[in-house]
Amino acid sequence: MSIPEAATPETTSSDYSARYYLHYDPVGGEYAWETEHWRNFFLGVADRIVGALAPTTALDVGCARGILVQALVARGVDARGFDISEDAISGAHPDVRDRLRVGSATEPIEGRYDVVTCCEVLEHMEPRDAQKAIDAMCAATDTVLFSSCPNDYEESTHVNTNPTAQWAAWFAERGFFRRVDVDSTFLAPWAIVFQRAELAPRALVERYEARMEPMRNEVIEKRRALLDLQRRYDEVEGPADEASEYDTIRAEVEIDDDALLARHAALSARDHVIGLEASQVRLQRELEAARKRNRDLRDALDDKEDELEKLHASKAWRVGRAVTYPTRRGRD
Amino acid sequence: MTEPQRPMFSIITPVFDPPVEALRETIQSVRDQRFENWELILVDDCSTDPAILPTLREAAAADSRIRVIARETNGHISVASNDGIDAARGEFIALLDHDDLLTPRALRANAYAIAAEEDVDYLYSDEEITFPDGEIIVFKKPDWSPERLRAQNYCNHLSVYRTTLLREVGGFREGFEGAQDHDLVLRVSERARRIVHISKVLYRWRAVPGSTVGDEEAKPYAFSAGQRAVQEHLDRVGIEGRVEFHGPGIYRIERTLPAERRVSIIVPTIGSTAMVWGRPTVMVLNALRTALEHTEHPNVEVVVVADEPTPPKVLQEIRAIVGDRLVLVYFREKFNYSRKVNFGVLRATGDRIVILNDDTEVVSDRWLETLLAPLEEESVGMTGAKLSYSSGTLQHAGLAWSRGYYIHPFREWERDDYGPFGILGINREVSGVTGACVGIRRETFLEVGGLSEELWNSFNDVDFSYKIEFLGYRTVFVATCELFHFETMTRKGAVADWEYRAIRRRWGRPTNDRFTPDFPELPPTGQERRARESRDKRRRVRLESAP
Repeated sequence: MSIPEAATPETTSSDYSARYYLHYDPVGGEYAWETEHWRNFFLGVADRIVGALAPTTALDVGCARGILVQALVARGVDARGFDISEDAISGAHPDVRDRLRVGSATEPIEGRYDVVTCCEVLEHMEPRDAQKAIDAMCAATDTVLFSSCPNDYEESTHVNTNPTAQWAAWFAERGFFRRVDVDSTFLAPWAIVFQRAELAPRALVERYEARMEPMRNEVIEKRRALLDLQRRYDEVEGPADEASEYDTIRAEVEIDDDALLARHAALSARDHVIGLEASQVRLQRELEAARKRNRDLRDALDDKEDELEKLHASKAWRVGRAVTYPTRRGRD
Repeated sequence: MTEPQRPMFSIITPVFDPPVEALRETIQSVRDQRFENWELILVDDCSTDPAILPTLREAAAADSRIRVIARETNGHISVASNDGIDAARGEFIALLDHDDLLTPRALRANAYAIAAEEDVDYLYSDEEITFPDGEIIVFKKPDWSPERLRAQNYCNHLSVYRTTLLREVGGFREGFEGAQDHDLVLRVSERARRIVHISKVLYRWRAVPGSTVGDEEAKPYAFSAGQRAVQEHLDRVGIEGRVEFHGPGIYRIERTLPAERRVSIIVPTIGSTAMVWGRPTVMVLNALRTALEHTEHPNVEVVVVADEPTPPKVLQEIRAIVGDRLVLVYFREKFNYSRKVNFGVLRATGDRIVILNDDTEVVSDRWLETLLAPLEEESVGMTGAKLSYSSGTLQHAGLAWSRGYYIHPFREWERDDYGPFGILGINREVSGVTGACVGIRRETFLEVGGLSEELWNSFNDVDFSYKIEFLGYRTVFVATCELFHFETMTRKGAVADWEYRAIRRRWGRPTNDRFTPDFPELPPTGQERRARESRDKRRRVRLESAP
């Protein structure tokens, strides 16, 4: 049995050449330790990792040019990293170069680490490979800092974009659950710290519920505040000019909405009904005229018949017939 | 068929110094009536000619149906006529001037019409006018046309009133001499249950020097009296407007369009360019620019329904001209004029709609107000404008359905021509108006089901006009709303057979137009055509047999 072709395409090392990193982030400049923007960003990330998880050892899976590894080292963590792109590894800063290696995330990881980080990597991998990568990471640590953008479909190498809940479910299959006490948004809004845990459903529910409640309250409070703000804004601005607002909204329209088409159908139907009524009136009129012609003709016919009868009854006729009788007979 | 001898007619003739011979002929024309149940009331208004009164008494002696009232003072025509009305014993009253003639069938035709419509309160009929130089003109009148009556007393002779109604309105009014008939008809028409037009010549009006029709300068006081009569009529029936003098016995009414009416101008377009007066012109831009320039109405929306090939540059310029009053509807289907207009109206928010073709150019100031104001009257269903070709000749002054054809009467007449009996300069009822410029209430447009989409090219306006009439509304031609219509003057016979068939399937074959019964372009009747054909044939035979 052959392995079925993957549902999504696979990306390879050559898809991540130096050119890939050139346009990695047009805002931040070149994706390298030397660039202040990226160095500061990852030093900040490292500070938070140290602050929240206090690891002694760390491994960055898909480390690219090893900026995060270098930042963790700078904060006293014994960090390592690997990446499938030889270009990336060879483009790393000399200070961190020997902590990095070329390797695939699908391969089992040697050794154990206090923390494994995996930032924006798995969405680049074909789904079955991504599962292998999760397996490998979960075997090498009890704590994973993970991020994968749930909605960036535009980047060509994002062949495996998934909602955050989906990634969380895959980690949960391996006994890893969200650390709800750690705010991981310092890395990305969708980043999660997963930790191995023996959790009864009750504990899990409690953990999520405990986070959900304040969030729901926050949403309600914010909605209320927004409404208040809108009302105060309206008071200051006065009521909206209805006519002009209406006009702007409907200034350019297609003939496509159902309400319009329904009104149009009613309009056409009315035209047809009036047309039928008009035809009926016309036919009635023509019938009336025909009946009158018929009556007149019949009257005329009756008159002629009366005339004829009178003629036949007249003395002159009878005498005339009697006189001409012999000759007519002869002709017959 | 037996002749009805009901009702009884009272013929009232106020007499003041007519030529005696003419007076004798007038009386004789009554005695010659085929219908016999009448009385003739001759009211002598203190004639100065001593031969008059004896002539009247002599007539009364000869026929017991003739009575004479001899006034002791001269009271002028209104007072004298009122004396006759007071004395009348007939169910209906007919007015006959002292030097005019009834045709022998006049009373019988009225009796038949009354028998056919029992609730009729007022009847008028066609008349023949003889000018002093011997020229004779027949005035074939339209069916009941209240808008036209405000512009001129087209009813005139022979007028027959129900006696009770005539007394109810108080007969003629003093102070309106010269326009007393116009004033009376206006007041009677406001209360009449039914008004009937008999399209037969029942009256011969002999225009002698000094009578209103023959000598326009003879009775200058008539005009201000007429203007006042119409103005008071407008005030009574609640029409907001001002009466203006337009010509002898002809008035124009400047009406007011309430500022709160929201107007939607619907312009279907494909954004095409054509030569106008030697310049390449994007038609729709020209139409929109002039349309918006020539109105002061504050509440206007423009709905442009654009076919897909409309150039984006044209759309841009439309946006620039119309600004935030624009609603742009993209029409992406096969061309169908009716459908484009229907969707335009369905998208519009106005309670008054103007359908405007993009190959027009507005000429009149306050055109929008003028076109739409008559729609303030419930019974007016639609209005149309006066359209001219770029050459300055008329393209449209109302449509007529005559002898199987759907016609633009007075086409290619001069734009400022008065027309026969002033017909081109006044607002009047017509059978239909061309679709190039139409004013209508939004609710009426919806009520009649919009433009018929089966008639996607021609005749949708003809069908629409028929529908307006079918639902009991009047269509009014507005002479004071003028536009150019750059339709090619040579576009004749563009209507396909199937379009004729579709119109006739609904409405039948037209015979005589109700509102424009007579005009120079009237096609020949079948009889006339056959006569001409046989004459041509005879001529051909003669030619062929000639040596």
